[in-house]
Amino acid sequence: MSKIPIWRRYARLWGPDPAADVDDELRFHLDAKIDDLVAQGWNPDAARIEAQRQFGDWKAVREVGERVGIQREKTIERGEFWGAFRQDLRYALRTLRKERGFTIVTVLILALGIAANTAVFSVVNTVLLRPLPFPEAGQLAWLAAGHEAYTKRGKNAGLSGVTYTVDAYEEFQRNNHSFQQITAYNPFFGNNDYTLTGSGEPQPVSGVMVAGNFLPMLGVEPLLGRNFSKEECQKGGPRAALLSYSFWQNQFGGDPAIVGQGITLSKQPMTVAGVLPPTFDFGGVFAPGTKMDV
Amino acid sequence: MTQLELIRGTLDVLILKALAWGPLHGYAITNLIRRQTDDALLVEEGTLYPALWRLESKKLLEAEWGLSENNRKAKYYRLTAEGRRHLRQETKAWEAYSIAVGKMLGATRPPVAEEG
Repeated sequence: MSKIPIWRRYARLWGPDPAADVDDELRFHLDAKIDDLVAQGWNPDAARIEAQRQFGDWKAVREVGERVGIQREKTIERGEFWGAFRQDLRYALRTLRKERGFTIVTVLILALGIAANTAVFSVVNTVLLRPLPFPEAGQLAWLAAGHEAYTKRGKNAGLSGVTYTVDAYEEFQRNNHSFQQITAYNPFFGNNDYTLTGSGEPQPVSGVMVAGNFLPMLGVEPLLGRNFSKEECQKGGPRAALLSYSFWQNQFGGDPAIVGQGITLSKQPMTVAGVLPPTFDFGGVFAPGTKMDV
Repeated sequence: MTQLELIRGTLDVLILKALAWGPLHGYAITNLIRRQTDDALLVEEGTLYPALWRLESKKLLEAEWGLSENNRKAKYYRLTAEGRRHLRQETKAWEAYSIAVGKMLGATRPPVAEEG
């Protein structure tokens, strides 16, 4: 075998070409055979025809060659890719082992960064990103007052600065044209404002007062029983309460017979109108983190 | 001598053997096999080249481009270490096989029944 001609180095400058390689190889075979036939005394044209006849199905062989060649190129490329990858990986690990201090600091920074991101995202996801768990949540709006009297004084007015009185709320309801419905709840509640008596030990209970159309407007259907009736929403009307699902489970053992019975909350007798579904969590939606029992 | 049909599975070992003396291109391999077997075995192009490429893929051969005797670029095949090992194994297996077949076909009498 003679030396590899110099141009061969550049023949595949733009990547390997298995098809062309196969062509070159088979053409050489044909030419060599023609040469031999001519040397035996054949006339060149006849020699070419004879060589082609002997060769048989040129196209079929070519296709096999191309397929095999492409496969081989792929294997080589894959091998080179993973070889280089392994080299890089080993180099990186070696360097990291050598520079232990740097490694520790880097890992710490990464860990802190990831932790901080995770923490921030969990909060942002629940508070800002996750849609409110109500039907057509996009149509809900929050009305917040900006009472001039407070803002002018430049004081932090707390809840009073951004809420409306019951009179104002009723006025809104009467003259409402912009919203399908307006509802309200009493935001001035605290933890364990109420006391449940009458069934064993007195129990502290957290509760919030809501307007009569509060639950229907949000599309919340009681799991058991009914919503507040019209009379129950009138001032001085009969008192009624809806139990939260978890309070119902913990305090009354999930007894469905509780619906319609009377309980005593802070010495006020009231009727249990129904039980709210587990999906509705006042504390989780309006005041995240606050637990609401009734 | 009359032409013989190539028995399946023997082409690979014939190619490996043809390359035992050094790198050759495909055309030279057919010539070598034909001359060595006194024209009894004629390897057709349609089977030779696919077999070469298959052996190359299995890493029993490696290929390199070079110039032929009359200055044409040709693809030369060379045995790899693995190919050489394979050739030795196959040669042994083939010889054992050929002796066994020869014994059987050359038999002139039924074998003596073994005492059981």
